[in-house]
Amino acid sequence: MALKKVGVFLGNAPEQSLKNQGIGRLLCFILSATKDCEIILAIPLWYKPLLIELLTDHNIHLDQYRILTTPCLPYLLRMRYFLIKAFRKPNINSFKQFLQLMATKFTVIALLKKAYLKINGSSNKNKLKLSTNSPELLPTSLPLFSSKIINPIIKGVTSSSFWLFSLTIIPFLILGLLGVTCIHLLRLWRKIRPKLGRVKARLLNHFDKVIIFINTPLRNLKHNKYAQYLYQIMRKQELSKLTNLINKEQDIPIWFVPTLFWPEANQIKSLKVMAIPDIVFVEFPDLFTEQYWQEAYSKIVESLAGANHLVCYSEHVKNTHLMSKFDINIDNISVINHGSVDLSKYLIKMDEQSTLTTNAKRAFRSYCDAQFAKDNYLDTFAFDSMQFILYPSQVRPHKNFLNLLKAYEILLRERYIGIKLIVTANLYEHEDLMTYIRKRRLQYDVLSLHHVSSEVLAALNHLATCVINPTLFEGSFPFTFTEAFSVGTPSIMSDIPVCHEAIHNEELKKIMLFDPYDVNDMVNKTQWAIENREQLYQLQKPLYDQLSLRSWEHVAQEYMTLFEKVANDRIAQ
Amino acid sequence: MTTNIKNKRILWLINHTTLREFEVPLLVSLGYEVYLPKHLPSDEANRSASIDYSYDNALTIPEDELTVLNNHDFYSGIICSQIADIINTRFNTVIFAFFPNLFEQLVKNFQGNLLLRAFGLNGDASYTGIIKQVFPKDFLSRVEAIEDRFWFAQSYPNLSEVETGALKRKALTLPLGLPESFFSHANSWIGNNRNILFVCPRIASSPNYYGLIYHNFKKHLGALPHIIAGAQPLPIDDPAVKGFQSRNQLDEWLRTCKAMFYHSQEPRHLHYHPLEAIAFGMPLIYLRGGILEQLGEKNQPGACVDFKEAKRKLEAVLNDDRNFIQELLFSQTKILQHFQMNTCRKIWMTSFPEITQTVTTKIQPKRLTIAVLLPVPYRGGSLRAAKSVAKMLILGSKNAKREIKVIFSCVANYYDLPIDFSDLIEMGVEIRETNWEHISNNKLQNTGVCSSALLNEKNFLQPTDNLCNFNDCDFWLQISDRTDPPLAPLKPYGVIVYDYIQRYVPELFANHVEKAFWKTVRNASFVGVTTPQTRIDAIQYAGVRANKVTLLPMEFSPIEVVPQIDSSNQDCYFLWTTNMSIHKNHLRAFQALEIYYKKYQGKLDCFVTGVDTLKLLNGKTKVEYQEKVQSYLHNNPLLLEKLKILGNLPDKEFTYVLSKAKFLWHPTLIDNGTFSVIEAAYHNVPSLSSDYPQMRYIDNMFNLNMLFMNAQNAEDIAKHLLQMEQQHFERRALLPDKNYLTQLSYANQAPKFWEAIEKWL
Repeated sequence: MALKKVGVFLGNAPEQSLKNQGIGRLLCFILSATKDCEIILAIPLWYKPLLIELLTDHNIHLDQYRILTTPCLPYLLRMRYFLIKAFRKPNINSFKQFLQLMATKFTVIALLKKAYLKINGSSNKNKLKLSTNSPELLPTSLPLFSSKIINPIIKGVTSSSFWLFSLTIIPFLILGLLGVTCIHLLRLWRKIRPKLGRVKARLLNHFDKVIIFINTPLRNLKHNKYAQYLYQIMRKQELSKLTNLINKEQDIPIWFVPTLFWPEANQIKSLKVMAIPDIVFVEFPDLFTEQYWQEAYSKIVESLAGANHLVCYSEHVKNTHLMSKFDINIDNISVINHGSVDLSKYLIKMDEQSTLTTNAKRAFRSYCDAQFAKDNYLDTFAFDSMQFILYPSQVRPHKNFLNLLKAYEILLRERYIGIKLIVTANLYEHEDLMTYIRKRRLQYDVLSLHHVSSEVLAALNHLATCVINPTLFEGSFPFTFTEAFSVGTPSIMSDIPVCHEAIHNEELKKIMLFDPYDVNDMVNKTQWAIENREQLYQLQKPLYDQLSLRSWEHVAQEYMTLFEKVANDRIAQ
Repeated sequence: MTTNIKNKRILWLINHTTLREFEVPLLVSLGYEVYLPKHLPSDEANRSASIDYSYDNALTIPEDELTVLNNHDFYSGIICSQIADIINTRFNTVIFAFFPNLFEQLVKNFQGNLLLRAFGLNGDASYTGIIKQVFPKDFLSRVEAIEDRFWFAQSYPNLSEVETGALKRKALTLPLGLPESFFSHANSWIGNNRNILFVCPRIASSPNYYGLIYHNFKKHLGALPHIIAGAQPLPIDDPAVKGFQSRNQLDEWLRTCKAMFYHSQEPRHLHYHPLEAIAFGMPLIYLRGGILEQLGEKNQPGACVDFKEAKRKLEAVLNDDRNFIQELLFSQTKILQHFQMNTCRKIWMTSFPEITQTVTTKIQPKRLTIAVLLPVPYRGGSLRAAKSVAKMLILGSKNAKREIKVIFSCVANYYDLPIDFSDLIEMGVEIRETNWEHISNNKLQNTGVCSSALLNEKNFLQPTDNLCNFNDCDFWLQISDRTDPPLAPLKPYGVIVYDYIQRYVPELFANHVEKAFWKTVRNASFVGVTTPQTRIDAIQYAGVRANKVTLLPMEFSPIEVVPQIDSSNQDCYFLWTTNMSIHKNHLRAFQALEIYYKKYQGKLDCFVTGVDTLKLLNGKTKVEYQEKVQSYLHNNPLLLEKLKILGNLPDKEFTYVLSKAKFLWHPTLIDNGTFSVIEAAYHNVPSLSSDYPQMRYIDNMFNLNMLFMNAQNAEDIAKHLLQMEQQHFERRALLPDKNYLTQLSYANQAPKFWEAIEKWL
């Protein structure tokens, strides 16, 4: 029996853009290729703007789908957005600047400002910057009090109920007034106790830290225990509401959950098919020992327990991860390979007479001119003439960025190949990599072009001399190959199991695959690819032709067939 | 006959798609052959540009010349003598869009009629104003000098109202029209999508113009359902902003959205999209004050005094007020009549054919004064190279029968002019001692000379000479990029850069940000390099546009050997020329020498020459690297015994020592290549060199047959030292003939040098 409705559950965190991530692109490819079936997208309300951004980037209109969402935002988020709006506008980075802004509007705050400035003076010394995992803000004994005192408060603040929120916030307002009084007391105390200066500086610096904390994007707070603690409670409440809404939709027989980090989906009473791109922890347990990743692992285990059927993208993940490690029955796992990604559609648009290269150069230059207008090095750089190799990937422990940097340095400084390396990851968020880059003075040749649109990604792929993918592991044959080839660029990549599932030509394997642990092998293969671009392109053409036979319509059809099978099996039982 | 055909050819140097679809068929209908450019301007404001080859077949110019033109980028390229010959021989008229480089190049090189096609600017901005701001100071006077064959071809009659000078005097209205394709969807509007269509590109990337338009729209009309079209290079956090869309999608919106709102009150600029809306039969609501109001009849129902009225009218459309919509659709079609082929063609025919018959004039090249600026008090090879540039300018221009004057600028109080520059003075070069002084951005702006696009730093460095500060020159040619802050762009200038070692040897610059050097080369009219690898670095590292980087010929001027009375009679040595810079690779060279002497029992001593090389042995230094080098040497008695450090020798003494060596050793990590290997070959001495691209280039160019080694690997270096010790005699047979090397002297290379840089002057 053909399915008429399929639900898609998206439990993404607030501010968690999927636009530049593989999972987001995969979802869009499937959505845009699915026909003859109503798709219902279930999302927490906080994710709606980002879902629109994601779909728009892929030229998909939201009105093609029914949206099932929570009725309103939690107050904690509303407070954050309010504060962001208040603090972001004129580049506010400290409490002092905030008061200065407010003082121009509110007389009461003008008084506060006066008090603050008098106490704090005009000196900025001892000013600390808040690191994203700043221990000063973390109540280390938080769990001890959580059950009795903190949890009810947090629940009130994170709730979307007005009355509960109001009752909870009143004590804080009182505390706020007390705080103001304290400032005045401090001023008084200063006259009596000359040593007050140091205490005052610390106290007021904490205000500054809070301001910076508010301005920090949520993705940068993922290793912050405090933020995580709040988020987990808020998330549980909201996703629970979402699953309640889902469970009222009894005519949707099956729900697709495109990743394994949302165990809340287990509360859905209908059948659940869950996509498992990979469980990379199984491959590199030592790379994922941080608390954040451990919690993610727990979610995976919990998610696996609740899914009715699992989909992965390669035999390797099926056998090595799901069956061997988690002992999952083979009948409950399906392998659906990815389709071929065609990026050329993002470059050939309005004017078909313009060449791919012209449009790509224009998109690349527009992005760079806007992004680097104030950059010391790139502000007046002639981007039209820039040549580069490209690694389109986010930074993850297994993405092997450090070896790539080492290989690139050898290519540049020992093989004298004077082209740049562009990555689409935001390297500035990864201090270890940036330290290495600065120490080796590679910051002028390794460029981080992050948060690029699909059009700019297509442009980068087209303009690259070649695309390199040095990952230590992938759960499916990397998207990067067809993405690059669809706009005329060959690739070289790591010799990992999923590549052997896709590439059958042994000669080609020798040319385009390298050992990602061996920097010299990476250097040799990359140098060959750069110097023999056209030859590599011709050698890879049969592989691309073969892969491009598998369209996303095929893939979407396989998903629908699987959904039908799972639903029919249930009826049969 | 030829002149008649030439008069019937037009260079139409514009790439705007819609404009081309109207204007080129119009020109063809008037009996012209039209050439269209095949390279696009690459900035984001020109997204509606495209390339069309379809008119090439009808052009009656030789195919090879057409290929040359098609390969040329008129927007950013320099019109060289070959292009100039073609366009002046084959064409009598050029119609071109307002792009600074294109405009400058045509005024400088085209001898026929120039029609600057103008489409209007924002507010009271004028083309004359932009020329004063962005172009060189004398540009307007250059335009006025050719006023008899220049026209300001305005699309609307009121554009010249805000112009002055030649652009006002030579205003000629050639109206804009709409192509047939524009009407392919005529009256297909159905209006079943309850949204207002608003076009507003580049909101974040142009915050002061489109950003304000966007915020105004959101403030006044944001409450109405709407879609905002237009490319957005930077993302906008607004679901209504749809970004760059396919033509099909735009057509779909024009067909289905309830109405279009057009914001512009610019009196001298009109976008195409409101006209498209009218062509689709879509209701158009617009603000009064712009060109639409001027073109429409009085009491146009779509015209609004302010946003309040616009909101009221848009609400009426959204609420399907049939009568109002009918009234709108009926009246707004009259605007389109101004853009129809017949209307426009009549106006074009009245004046355009006459212009294209005008006789062209020959541009007489004037006498150029070129300053060669040496901003650092170099001596040795660098000074020699700078002097060679001045000499090649003199000889090259003479060979091309072009009269020039060369002024050589050297840093004041460092040189003995009559002695150090006797060779230049003999050739008629004027030597000027120069002090380099800071000049602020404000002061430079006040001079009114500099293009504001180049004034991208707070301070600049200006060469001053107590005379006229090189203002008597037409062009400056700076040797090296070493001006910090950047060179003041008071004159068009070129830079000759020799290397970017810091890219390969990070320790050389460590944390120093060479922003001033980058700006100096990026602001230059051209950058000359002498090896392909440095060309790559200038483009890929310094960020210079590829078509501005020119490969100049290398030259070699030999010094003959004069027997030295007090020289060492020992000749069992090889020679290492170096200095104390980190890229000279001393530590690895020492390791290699140790291996050579200990493991391979090497027999030859190593003589060391070069600037500061006595510091290898001793001398106070605060440089950490030099301390390491000294310490390494002092802890190796074997090396102290085998190395003979001669220091910096005068040219003739150096030549003598070189001529007696068994071979020359060059273990440097990277540079622009050393000329000492050529000097060695000239004196029949083979060389062992590090293997890097610049040395390979020199080896190939001068046919030196050098032996190469891996400078990163001490063992490999040592092995090659041994090989040279054993084969140096045989390798002499592989060296080029002396006569061959003398052919590459500055005197012989001067014509090539002049040819390479003449087009930039």
